Order: sequence, then structure tokens, then C-alpha cells
Amino acid sequence: MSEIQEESGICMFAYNNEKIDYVKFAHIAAAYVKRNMKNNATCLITDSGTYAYLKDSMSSSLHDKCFDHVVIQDVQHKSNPRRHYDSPWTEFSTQFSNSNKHDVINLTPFDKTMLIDTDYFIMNDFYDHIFETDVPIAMHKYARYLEHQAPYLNEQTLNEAGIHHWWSTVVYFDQSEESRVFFDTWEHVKDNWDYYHLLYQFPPGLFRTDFCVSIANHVMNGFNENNFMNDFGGIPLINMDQKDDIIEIKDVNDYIMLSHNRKEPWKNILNRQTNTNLHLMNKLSIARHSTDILQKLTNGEHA
Amino acid sequence: MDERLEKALEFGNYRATLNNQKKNVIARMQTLQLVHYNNGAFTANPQTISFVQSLISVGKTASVILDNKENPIEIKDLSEFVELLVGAYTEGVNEYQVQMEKLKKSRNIKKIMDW
Repeated sequence: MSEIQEESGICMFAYNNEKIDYVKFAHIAAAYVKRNMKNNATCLITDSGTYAYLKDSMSSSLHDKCFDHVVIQDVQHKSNPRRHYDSPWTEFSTQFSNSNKHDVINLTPFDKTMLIDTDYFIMNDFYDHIFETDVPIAMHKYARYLEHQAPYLNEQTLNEAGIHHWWSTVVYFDQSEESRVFFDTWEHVKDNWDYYHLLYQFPPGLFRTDFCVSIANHVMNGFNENNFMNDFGGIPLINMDQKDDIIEIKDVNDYIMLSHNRKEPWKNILNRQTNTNLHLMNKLSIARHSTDILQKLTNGEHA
Repeated sequence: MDERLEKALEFGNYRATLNNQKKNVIARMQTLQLVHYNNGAFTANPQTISFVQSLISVGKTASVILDNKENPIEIKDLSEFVELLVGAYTEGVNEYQVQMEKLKKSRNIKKIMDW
């Protein structure tokens, strides 16, 4: 267990695999936090293999600019292959290491923590308000895609008649008893995945933390859709689909993207997002622009 | 392709892009107009501002007000609160107006994207 060293900050998990350089994404996400938030202390949680790669592939000054704390946790992740898309026409599968995300409450060096995914780029100060409250836990309940479309059906509810789907992309929490019960419940769901996929009727193939938090929230609400969880004022996550693409980074907080049409995927329209927090789900698209983004964020210094 | 059809399709593409950008600008305004106060979340809209101003005008300095989720939130200083609301409302509509003016002047996709 880490010691609490600071009042507030942002944590990220990054475990590289052979296809996705999550630790580089984490540095971009951290640089965005530094640029746009007041509560901008940062902590990277990774394993020794990824950390060794980081040391080889990135300058120490860039790393120090982006992260104030590093926690090494070597975990044996179970095989969890995830299918990714890069546009509607290219797909690939790779390991998705997310089995210890619930452990963030023990690993964080912060009293009040916001855990974000490394593909979540914070481009405004929206989240600062939550650190001023006594809210124990907050997550996004709603999401939309670039053309203001609703999420896919399995991202709205866990099954056709199921409970609401909450997003673990951004999880704010403090060190209260409620938070601890919540993360313990998340771990319990993970440990009993086979049971919970039958109970809540979702496909068991891919281990998804979104499902864990949705179930933990449902259980802690007395098996109801109640208001235990703060939902950031109902503001939705803005998702860039894996089948969408980044076209140009005009400025660090100004992205032009190509949004595909779900029914007719050969149709695309351009979409410009300015000063908007973005969940960029097309990982290879981030990778193609990562050096450019890092250069813009760090005034020319990049890995 | 028939040139007339080509131009019609190009215009249709422009309108689809423009409409989506308008939605983006409105969504950004709505985010800016969300005010967090004493663990409550309020939308800085004319109704909320007028209601708080009404409380002040009848001599109230503090009150309990229901937030967006119907939670009772104690507002200890109504004047400070209305200032926050007006500030958030103004910031949101100002940005909305600036962005909409830019969009109105953008008569094709390249202009919308600043290309």
C-alpha cells in the first residue's frame, strides 16, 4: 500500500503490450493534466518491464515533466485479448491488462484521486470542481460519440434489459469507507466474473472494468438505480470511436477528427473539438499523432 | 459525376458538418454553465438566476435550493451564488456567440476547419 503523500492528483495505469505503447499515451495524458487542471499532480502506475522500456524510450526530463510519482506494481495479468479497430477497415487483437485497476485506492499517493485511462485527454478544467467537494466517488454515467450519437447498446446497459452501464474511464474517489467498500466490491466482481456474467447477463469474453463498476454501483445502491454515485453533473463522456480517426492536431486543445457513420461506414464527416475532454478510443490513431501532440504539449521536447 | 449532383453532395456534406459543429458548441456551452456549489450541481440558466435574484429581492440572504438532482443544497450567501451563476451563464453564452459567429461565416468545410 502506498502512503498518502499529497492532497489531490491524477493516477493512470499503463502496461505496454507488443502493439500499443500505453506508457507514451500516459505521458501525453499527464501533460494534458499539467496544462489544463489545477489539481495536477500525477502518478503513473506501471510494472517493471514497462518502466524499463520507458527509461529506454523516453528522455528523463520529459518523464519528470509529466509525472510526479511512479508506482511499480508487477502483476500477472490473465490473458484478456481485446479486439481493436483502426478505422472501419482495419482490426487487430491485443492483450488488455486491466485486472488490477481496482487496486488504485491502495496504490495512489493522493488523498483525493482521479483515475483516468491513458486514452483520455483532459482539455479543460471541468474536473477541478470535484476535488472541492466531499463526494466519495464519481464516474460518468452518460457518454456520446462525436456526432452526438448515443453509445452502442452494450454501452448503455449491460444487457437488453439490464442495469445502466457506467464508465470507468474517469473514476474520482477519496479515501472514505464508502470508496473502500466500492473498490472491494469491484475486486469481488472481478474475482467472481463467471458468476456475475451469468447474473447480469453480459458476454464473459472480455474482462471490462466498466461492467465491474456498473455492478458495484448497482449492489451498493441496494440493487437499484439510485444515486450513490456522483455522475459529474450528468455531463457525458465524449468518445471518439475506434473506427473514427484523428486528422489533424491544430493546437493542443483543438482536434480535427473524422467521424464514421455506423450504418454506412464508408461515409465520414469531419468533426472539430476544441477545449473538450476527449476519450480517444482509436489507439493507433493516437500513436500516429503522439510525437506531434507531445511536441506541442512540451514545447518541442518529445520522446 | 454530374456536376450539379457533385455540388449538391458537397453542400449536403457541408450542412451535416455544420450542424454537428453547432451541436458541439451547444454542448460546450452547457458544460460551462454547470455550476458546482456546496456539493450541488446547478445549471446557470435564466430560470435559476431569476429565482435566486427573486429570493434576494424579497430580502433573503441565505436559502435552501434544490439542485439539478433535486438535492436540497444550503446556499449560505445568495449574492455570492447569483454572481457565480451569472458568471457561468455569461461565459457560456459568450463562447457560444463567438463560436456561432465563426460558424455563420464559414461557408464551406475548409472554413469550418480553418484550413
